[in-house]
Amino acid sequence: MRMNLGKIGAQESTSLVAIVLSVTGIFTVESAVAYANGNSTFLTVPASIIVGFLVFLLCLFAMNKLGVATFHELADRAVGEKLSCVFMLILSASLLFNAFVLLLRFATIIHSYIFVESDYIRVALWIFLPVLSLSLFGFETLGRMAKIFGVALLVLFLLGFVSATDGFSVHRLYPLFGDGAYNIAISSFKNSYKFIPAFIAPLVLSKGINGVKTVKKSVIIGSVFAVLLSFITQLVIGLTYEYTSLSNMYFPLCRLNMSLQNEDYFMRTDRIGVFIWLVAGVIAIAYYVYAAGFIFCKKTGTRDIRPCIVCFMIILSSLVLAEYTKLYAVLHGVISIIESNSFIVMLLIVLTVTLLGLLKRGKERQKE
Amino acid sequence: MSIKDLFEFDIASNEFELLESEKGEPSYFGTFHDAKPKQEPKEDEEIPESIDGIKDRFKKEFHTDINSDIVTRSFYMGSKLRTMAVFVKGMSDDRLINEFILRDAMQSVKVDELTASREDIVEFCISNVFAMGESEKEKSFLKIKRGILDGKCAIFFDGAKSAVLIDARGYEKRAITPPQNEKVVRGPHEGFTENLRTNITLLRRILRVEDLVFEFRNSGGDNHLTVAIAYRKDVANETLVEEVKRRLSKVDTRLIIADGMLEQLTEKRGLSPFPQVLSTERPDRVASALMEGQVAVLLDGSPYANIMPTTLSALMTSAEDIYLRKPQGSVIRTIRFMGALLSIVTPAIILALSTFHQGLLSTEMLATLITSRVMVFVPMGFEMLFLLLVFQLIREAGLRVAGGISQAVGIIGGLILGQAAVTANLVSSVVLIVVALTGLGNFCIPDYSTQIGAVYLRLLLVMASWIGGLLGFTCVLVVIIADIARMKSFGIPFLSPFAPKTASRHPFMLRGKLKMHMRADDYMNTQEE
Amino acid sequence: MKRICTFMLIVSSLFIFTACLDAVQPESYSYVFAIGIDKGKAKRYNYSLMVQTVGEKNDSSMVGSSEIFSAEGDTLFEAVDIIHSVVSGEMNFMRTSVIIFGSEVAKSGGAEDFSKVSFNSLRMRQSVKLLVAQGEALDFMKNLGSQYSQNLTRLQVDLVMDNKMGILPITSFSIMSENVMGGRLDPVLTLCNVAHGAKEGEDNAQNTSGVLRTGGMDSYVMGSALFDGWYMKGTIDENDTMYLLMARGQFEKGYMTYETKDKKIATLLIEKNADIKRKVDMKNKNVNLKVSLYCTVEFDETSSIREKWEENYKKEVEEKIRLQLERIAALVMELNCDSLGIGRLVSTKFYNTDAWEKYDFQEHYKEFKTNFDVEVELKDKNIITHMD
Repeated sequence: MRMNLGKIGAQESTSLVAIVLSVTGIFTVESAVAYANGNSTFLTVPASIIVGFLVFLLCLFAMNKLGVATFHELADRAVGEKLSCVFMLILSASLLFNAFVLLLRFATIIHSYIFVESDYIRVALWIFLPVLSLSLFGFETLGRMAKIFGVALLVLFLLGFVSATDGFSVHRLYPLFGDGAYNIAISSFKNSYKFIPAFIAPLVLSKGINGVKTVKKSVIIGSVFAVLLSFITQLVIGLTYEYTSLSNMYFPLCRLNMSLQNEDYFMRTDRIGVFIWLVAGVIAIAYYVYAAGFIFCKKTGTRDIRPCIVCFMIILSSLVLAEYTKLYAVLHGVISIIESNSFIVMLLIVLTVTLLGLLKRGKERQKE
Repeated sequence: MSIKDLFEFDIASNEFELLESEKGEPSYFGTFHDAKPKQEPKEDEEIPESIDGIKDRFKKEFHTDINSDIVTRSFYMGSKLRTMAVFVKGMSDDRLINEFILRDAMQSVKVDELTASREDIVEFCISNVFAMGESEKEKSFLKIKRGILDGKCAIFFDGAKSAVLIDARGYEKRAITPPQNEKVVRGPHEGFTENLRTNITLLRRILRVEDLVFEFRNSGGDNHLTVAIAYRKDVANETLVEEVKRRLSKVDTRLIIADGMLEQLTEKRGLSPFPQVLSTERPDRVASALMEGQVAVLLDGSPYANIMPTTLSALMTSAEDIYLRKPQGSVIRTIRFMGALLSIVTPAIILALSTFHQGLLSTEMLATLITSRVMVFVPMGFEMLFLLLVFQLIREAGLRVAGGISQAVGIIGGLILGQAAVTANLVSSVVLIVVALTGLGNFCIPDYSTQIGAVYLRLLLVMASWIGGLLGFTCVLVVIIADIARMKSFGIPFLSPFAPKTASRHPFMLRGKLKMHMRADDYMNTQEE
Repeated sequence: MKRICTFMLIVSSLFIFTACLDAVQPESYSYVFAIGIDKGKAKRYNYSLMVQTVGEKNDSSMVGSSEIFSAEGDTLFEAVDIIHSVVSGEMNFMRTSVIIFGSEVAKSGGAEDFSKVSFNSLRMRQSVKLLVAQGEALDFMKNLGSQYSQNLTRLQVDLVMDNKMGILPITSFSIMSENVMGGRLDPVLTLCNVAHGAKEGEDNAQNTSGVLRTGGMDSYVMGSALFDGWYMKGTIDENDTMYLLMARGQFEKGYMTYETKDKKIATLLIEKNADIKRKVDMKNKNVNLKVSLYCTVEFDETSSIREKWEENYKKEVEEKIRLQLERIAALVMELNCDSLGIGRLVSTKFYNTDAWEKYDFQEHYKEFKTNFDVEVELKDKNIITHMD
């Protein structure tokens, strides 16, 4: 059996969770949709993470009650092996979807903002290399990479914001809560479909994180970081540009220093920030691919995770490369269908597994 | 060859040719013929009973009719018992053999004192005749042969099935000198020599602890050098020691001369740019490692010891760090890490910014760069690689050239070549300075193997930057760091104690407090815990 | 097995090599420092590009200069096509620091036409600073001093420094687009001019305020250009610019002169004391702005200047400044330029995007009245001149 799981400690898992959630929160915001009617992303994105966290707590509660070590064991006990297999494969697919969206975003960002004159395919090919390597190297390597880069990435990220403070203005946030409280709430819940799989994945990989207790600690601390960072990032974007400008920008973070008045020696290096984010992105994407591969192998009985990861990467690469082909419209059509329905599906799966599991536990107790 | 030879035709060439001994033509891509597995040596062989038999055996196996330095000295003990001393001239100390073996055997023993049994004679001689410190009875002819080749003297008795093996080693050896490659300002100035016994003595002088163990075994090469595995029995993790022994026992090769060969045969990841053992010629470093629960392997004939396991932090540590005060040590270590990091990434980043991301450079720097590249006819990537290669050539030439002109090589390389290359429009001055700084940074790395590994990484990153700019650089850097992160040295993650975070407060980059060295590092999992 | 792995490694390496991203040597580009846009004769616009030229390799200073190339075209791309044939190497706009609009172009909304240029395809940074030249942009570029023609980034840095000191407004393209699209603030661009050095026997009326001036840079910055959206509506001089910046809350330091009751000319150095306080009353359509300043005068040993200040001069000075501010506010309103950012204040009263967009602030702008409250405190520091 070769799952490349290994074991990582609390610091590594916290860094990994924080990086994955932050990257998912910051880099998957579709500007055209998010800023169409005012700017409330500094509320909706952290709120989505919190919703995902609540789902995580529910799953954790059920796992503790049933005394199981991993989420797929919970699913097995709750709904039986066959249905659990279906649910876990859907979860695996959703993890792959997250990886795909992030891969697409990063490839497009780097191509559009840095390598405008080069072919998209060439840019994307470079990104596949570290993602494939990291996912093949395994979970232990991912954890260590997160530990190595975690603090440095955070500091550099925040330094980028500090350097942009000259361009902030509070009035740009107005109209505050422009979308209305109801829409903000709906948006928060709907967009949590990205975070639910990210929260459940550590529960699946809990044996590599030294047990459920460590998972809980790591996820709590990681989520706090992710919520704060997402909030700060979206707030900074909102203080730098009005929503009318933001809705036309594919990725506003790249243009953070453009409104700056002062452009001395270091301000021109703002584009280097893209590569710093790329490192975080690569770790997050590799994590998703690995977790998806792990779930797939567990459920299908595959004994080596590496061919699975390679296959997943080939599929993802093909889809990403299809962005600049005639399949673009089909691809984005499918993406919007998935995005609009994923929350319901995720919620159904989680609720079914946890509630049925708790019910079964209750019945078992009664029998005893 | 004379002119006459030139015009002599139809005469076969008398040049020596080593003719092909294998049959058939090699395949298109060539094939690798690994050596056939060696047959295990036979069980301990019995010693021939008679002296003549022993002499014949030596003649056959040691070619004593050709080897004039294998001495087979027959004599009579107590004027009656036929005895033979066998030793290697030059390996054994003639004076010891003459005075304490031959003379004592010939003159001081009375035959009557010898009992009937030949085996008892051997015991009797060890206890009463040979006034030598290390004398042991040996039944195995194989072990006796090894002992003789090690420099010991074997005494055979006519009719006895065992012999006495006496340690009479006395070959010429180098005096203890300061280490050639690990000089320090503060700290001991003794380095290992090629003599295993001397090296062990150096360690024992520093570590006066009862549980310090030196296990001797064959290195695994056909030249049968001895290897000593050193560790603290009550401290070192037993699994680690067993793993070291297991890997050493798997070594089976034609020749082992130096520790570097042993290192390659025992490490798991031969293609990694970083070594998985720490090679040092300083006894104080080895002693420090042994106290921490690490294992050291010393090879007879090599002035280096291999310490395992090792981490990146250890490879970047110089012996002097612990002898300095904490602030000084921390500053030096930080500079060293920064120097190493800059030397690896700077050429690649400069290349990427200049050829792909000119917009990120300030106007002054860009103008300077463009002006310096006026009339330079090679692409900047090629220029960078060329200068890196030239730097390595200078370094290599400086190492290999004869002592008298090594200074001249430095001057030629450093000043003339650099300046001439700029004047000839081969390279630009900006790139020259970058490469010079890179070279300086590279020399900050204390470990020689790691320095060479850094060259490898630097070239990889430069190639990636040349092809893909900062994107290529970032992607390849991530892969390199991931590879280092997953590397293990004898079961210990290479980036300990940073990733994974371990219980010890010992910092990775800075110099920790001396009190932190009271306990072994947490990741060593010593028996003390 | 080893051979198969080696083969796969070679194939995958080739895979990576196909991802070559077209490196270009730095000396292969011609870097465009500045773009000037004037009205064209044959075509719509006359584009002037200031291109960096490198110095000699053996020159110890290793500093180059720049050259200006002009061509007419309906779009920038047309002009670039023409200029490209005379410039060595590919033109690179990554280092463009300033774009200068001629006054005619600014008035006719040329800035909007320029905004349709794809900044991405030219790889121009959107933080490029925008200037308006009183007259022709080409004239301004030609007469820039050597320190700027070598490195125009210094001009940008100097403009930013002036902005930080509250002397000049400064706007980048990114900010201008945001202002115009957002509709809450109209952009104010830096105004610049050319004053040729005084020459004997010639008409010197074009010199700085008609005063003979020798030496130094002929091109200089002189005030602000007021815009309504993409269209320039008017200009103000440096003195009025100070009051405009005061009303916008960007003022830091300045000076003013006035005639006291005692018929003496007094010069005061004024500094910002606190950030401007703004309040908008939507019901009565009033905008109340409170400006707090410091003022420095010479310390008079014979009498207590403080008492005189409080009794005589403080109210005078405050009234004077207030009148100037109201004059400027009226001027900008007349030009339909929301240069004071009243739209920003009004937008903070809305909590719904639809309501804000329905409100259409541009329609209601002229209904607002600005009221200024000025407070000037005396600061005991050294010297401008006597009050007395």
